[in-house]
Amino acid sequence: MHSEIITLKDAGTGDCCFRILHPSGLEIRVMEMPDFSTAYAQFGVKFGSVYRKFRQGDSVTALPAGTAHYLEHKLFEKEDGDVAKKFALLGASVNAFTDFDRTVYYFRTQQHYYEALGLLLRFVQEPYFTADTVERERNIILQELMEALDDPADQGFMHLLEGLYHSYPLHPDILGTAESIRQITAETLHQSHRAFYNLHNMVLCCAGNVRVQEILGIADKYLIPAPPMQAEPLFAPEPAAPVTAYRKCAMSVGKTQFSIGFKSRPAAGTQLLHDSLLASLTADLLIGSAAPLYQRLLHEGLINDTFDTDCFTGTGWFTVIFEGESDQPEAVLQALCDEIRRMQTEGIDEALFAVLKKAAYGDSIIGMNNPESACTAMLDAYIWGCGSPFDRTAMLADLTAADIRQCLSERFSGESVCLSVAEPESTGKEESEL
Amino acid sequence: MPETMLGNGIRYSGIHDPKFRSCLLTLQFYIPRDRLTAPVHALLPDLLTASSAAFPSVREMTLQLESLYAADFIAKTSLCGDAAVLEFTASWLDDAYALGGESVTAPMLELVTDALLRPNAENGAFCDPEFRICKQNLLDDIDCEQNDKRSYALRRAAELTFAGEPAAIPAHGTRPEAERITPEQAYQVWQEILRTAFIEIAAVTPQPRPEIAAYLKSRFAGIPRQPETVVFEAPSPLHTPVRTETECMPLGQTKLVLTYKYGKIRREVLLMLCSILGWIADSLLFTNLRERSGLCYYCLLSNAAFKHTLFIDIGIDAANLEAVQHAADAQIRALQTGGFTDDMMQKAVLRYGFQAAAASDTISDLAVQQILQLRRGDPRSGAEIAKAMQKVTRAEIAEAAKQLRADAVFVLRAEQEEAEPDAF
Repeated sequence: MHSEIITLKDAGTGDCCFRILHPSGLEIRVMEMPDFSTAYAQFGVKFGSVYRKFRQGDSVTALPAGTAHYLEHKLFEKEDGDVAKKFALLGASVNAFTDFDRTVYYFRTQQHYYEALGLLLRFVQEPYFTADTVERERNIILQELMEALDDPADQGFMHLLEGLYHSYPLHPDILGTAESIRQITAETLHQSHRAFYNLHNMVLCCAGNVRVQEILGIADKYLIPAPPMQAEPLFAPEPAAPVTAYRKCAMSVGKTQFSIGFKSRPAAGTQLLHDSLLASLTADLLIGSAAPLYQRLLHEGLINDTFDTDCFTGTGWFTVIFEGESDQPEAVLQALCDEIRRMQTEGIDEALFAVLKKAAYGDSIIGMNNPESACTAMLDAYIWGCGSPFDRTAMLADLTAADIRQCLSERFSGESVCLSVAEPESTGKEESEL
Repeated sequence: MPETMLGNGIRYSGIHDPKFRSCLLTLQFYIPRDRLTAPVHALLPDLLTASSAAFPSVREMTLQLESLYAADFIAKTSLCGDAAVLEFTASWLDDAYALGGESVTAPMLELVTDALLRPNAENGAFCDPEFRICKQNLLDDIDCEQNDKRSYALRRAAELTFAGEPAAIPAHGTRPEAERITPEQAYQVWQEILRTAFIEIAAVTPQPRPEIAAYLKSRFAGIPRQPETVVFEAPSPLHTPVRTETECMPLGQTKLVLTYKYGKIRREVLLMLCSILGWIADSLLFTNLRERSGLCYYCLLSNAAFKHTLFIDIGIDAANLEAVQHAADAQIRALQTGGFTDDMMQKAVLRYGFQAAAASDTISDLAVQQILQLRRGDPRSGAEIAKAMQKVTRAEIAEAAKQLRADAVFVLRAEQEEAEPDAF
């Protein structure tokens, strides 16, 4: 088969990524890293927990929450048993994860890479579900859900998303709910696999001690050419404002936990990468550990060393999160909002901005220095609709103080913020929204 | 690996590998554990990395690290047998990638050694407010240790199975003990550690950098060293009858931790045993407790090698408690009677071989691998151990498994087990 190969280069490091549009419909991204002794592969699909409804032809299908995760579990089981055992016999370690916007199957190995790659391509493309095997998995997934429900960090995050998003399906949990998990059948899984596990909707990323030509040989052998993607994911319109500005609940935690989320319009493609990079830098300028506000709140005992910031984004959502432990989360939010206003009026600390850009550059260079992170960078770029995994470094150099000002006004609006608080159970049981 | 002594009880390993773009330096201080100093040992990593005399606040320290291309300087205290290890690790971008051609390595070496040798202290005491903030962080950590139910259950099981031994002392100590720490006491404990701890240092760099060893040697030369020997290997005595403890908590999933003790087992045999029991993809525990019977979502095996103790931790429905314990015991019996396949033995070897290779692909793992090799006193490389594992026989594994004796059972029981998961 003839594949079109595009070579992408990082001017700074000399790293090279091959981007291949395989005739089967699959996009393949490869980084040859011959100095490493292991190699990694990720086979990803744009089908995660937020994909809850889709149109195919004239019909619209709704999926129970947790379908993508259930499907991920069940793909490992084949008529002759768990496919993980076959990987183990090759010395490869295989696993998978489901996220909001993707499901990724991956393995890492030192030897028999191409045999393992063939196995990966086959097992993800060829589902084997029966009513019995699907039923058998249900209790295991319910147990997994129980574990997640006992995790205050997981639950605090979900609590914030419920406070921020009206209809965009970032909640319930990626695993679903006990009720939705019970609704999932073998037919649900078949239907989802047919709709979304289409090679035009998937990517294969390989990095480490691999050769692109050998990968293409395996791809030619095992990829089953796919018809054009017909399923169209459907999402209800999401209002700009959060559901509520404040949420409180009781949890089994030792100290009050809080999450502050600033919700803003979603972006896509390189714009998403650009905006998330910018929002992360802005958050660090505001209250990162090198910022004066962080130091002040730490000294005043309003935050402790668990405080962290995160830019939580995907192709349909964009939220900047500040979270940690505090006895006075409302005071932390107030201080943060005051700092946003101050920075909008007085401008940013240019010296700190330069330092943070330098730090982000360092992260970019080191970030591509092992097969696993290189693979992840290539897959992230595909899922977000970016052509190259190297865009970040170039974008970083171009960011200006004016960009930060714009980001502050667009992505840190006091109208779009939600504070979610989880107090230790002994201090109050009832859940409230104000 | 080339190891040299930089001073009395200060061993240095310099490793270079051109595939990396960053450098890593780790310094590990080996210290004995006791109840009094445990919370200080837990406090020191945070205290010494948060600030120094040169960078006397968290902000100034962070600014310096960020300006060095997001260099990292972290620390932790880990338990190892009956001893503890205070581990400081710094990593930074190699000079070759600095935008202005400046050195990143030199200021990082200065930052790290200053933090350890010229801490943020005056008149024999750590300075406030950094001391107060770090102490509060420790108290918050203690208050929140139940947040992670699995770790909490494992810690409680360790307390039960190692009762009366230093290994039973919680990593953070207790809250009242932590509350009593003073800036003077913490400073004294640190000075004592600098004087008496054996210090294991490893540096990994893309190119050979002899200046690192030379610099460290000169900085540590001023310390009047009188290193004391710390023995990691401390087999824990078996308890008969089996110790059992149950704690109730409002949670959805019950946690069960089982411990088993063993005598002397050759390392490669123990690795085969653990792999077949719990570490390979189709291990006895995973296959029989999760895949066949669906009794649990996770069932994990860990080995406290210096204590000669295995931990099996499982997340279950409380109704299955008895069935799961029986099933776990049945897997031990299967090992003892050779109830495992040749495929499983082969997978155990392949898995270990892969892990050894993978460690050489990550700068931090490479340093850790070198240090663990020295700490265990086993000079064999990962590849050599994988080769030794290949020669282990089924009979040797079964014989070793016969040494396994149940020692303790800890249950973190869900109080609200009957509740639907949605009702949380």
